[in-house]
Amino acid sequence: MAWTVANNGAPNTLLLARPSAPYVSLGFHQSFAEEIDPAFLERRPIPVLRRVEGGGTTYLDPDQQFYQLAYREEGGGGGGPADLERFLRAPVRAARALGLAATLRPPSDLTVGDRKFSGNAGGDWEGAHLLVGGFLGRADLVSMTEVLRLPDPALRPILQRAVGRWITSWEAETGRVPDPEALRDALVRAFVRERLFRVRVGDPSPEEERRFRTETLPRHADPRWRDLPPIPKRPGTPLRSIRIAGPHGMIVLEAGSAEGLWAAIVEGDLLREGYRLVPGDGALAQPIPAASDEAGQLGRYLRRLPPFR
Amino acid sequence: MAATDGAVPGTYCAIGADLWFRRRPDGSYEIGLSRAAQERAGPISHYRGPLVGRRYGKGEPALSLETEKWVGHLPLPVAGTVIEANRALESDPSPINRDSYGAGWLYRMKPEDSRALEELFRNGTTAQDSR
Repeated sequence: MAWTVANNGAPNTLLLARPSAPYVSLGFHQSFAEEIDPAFLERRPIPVLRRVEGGGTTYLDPDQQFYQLAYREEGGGGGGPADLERFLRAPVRAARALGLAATLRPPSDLTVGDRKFSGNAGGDWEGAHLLVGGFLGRADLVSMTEVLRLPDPALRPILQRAVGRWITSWEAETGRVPDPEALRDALVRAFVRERLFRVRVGDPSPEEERRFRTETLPRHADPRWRDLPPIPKRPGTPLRSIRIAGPHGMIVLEAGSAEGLWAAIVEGDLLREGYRLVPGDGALAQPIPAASDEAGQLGRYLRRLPPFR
Repeated sequence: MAATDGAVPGTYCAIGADLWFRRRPDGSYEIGLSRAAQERAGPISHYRGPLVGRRYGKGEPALSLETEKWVGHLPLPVAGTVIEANRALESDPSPINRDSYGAGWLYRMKPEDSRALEELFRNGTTAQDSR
């Protein structure tokens, strides 16, 4: 879609879609073997699809509504992160029109209170600018966390608590999942009301259909694409860092030493909870008292991480 | 860093607001992201370099940079062949933010017409403007 908008005469395009069945989306730079819990796929053999660009691992299902915008500069925006704030006015308006007290938490999360129900990102791709995002109609927190491979089973409940703390959904806020058609109509009306685009309904162009058939589908059917090797890690890189909900949460796990694994839940730049885990005994997830030397070491380690925004 | 002549090795010359170049003793050019551009982008989480040995046309996307919420493809400013990518950035892109005029260089290239790069510098901002 981005290519045809940039090079093939397609108009600026808003794509509204939802998955027909659950799947897992892997960021381009991620490793299938490191990210995905094999036990989850044994229980639920759903597709794992690697994106052509980055970001984290996400579990997606039919209760999520995607909106994807590809646009050129003329009539659109100049590209770059500044466009996020401008275009995200539309999904905020759509959510409010359907009864959700949505606000934009810059740069690109939509929240109710401090809980996120919509993640968004942008980019410049093939000569077009992109905005991609989605609404969580219902949040399957169990699947969202069970799909992730963790170095110790004791981390699973910690992760689930953290995700439950920072993620919400339409169902959690209003008691029901919105009707898909009403949601799509609200999104289209919002893009028009925000005077971002004039909208006319259309189908994928023959070129978009051809490239989907000849490039996208074969890529996802090729296990070599899914199993691309991981990028070599520099010394000191955390074993796993999981960004849960934008600026309000991250779990960082450091590679084990004789003393075990460290895990931290970070809120903003602050350590909120620290844990020490003993390898081989998943029952031992010991909270680290904030005043302890271990917490101090964890704090120093976290300061070495890139700024968390 | 004073830079009044784009051909002087060891100085940084701005290409517009987003890129700089530096001529190397072997006649190739090192290209990087300006401080203004990396500050605007925020912390860069991934670098995917250009293909070494490949000829790119002017404006052709050659490498990809990602931040937490944005991915962008950087085009080559002039036509030429990439002779080296900064592979160290693939496992640790933080020098692009920390040391954008040093260890954070993005790639080295041989332009088909080096005067085209020099012209971009002369028609753009000065190095002092962009640093």
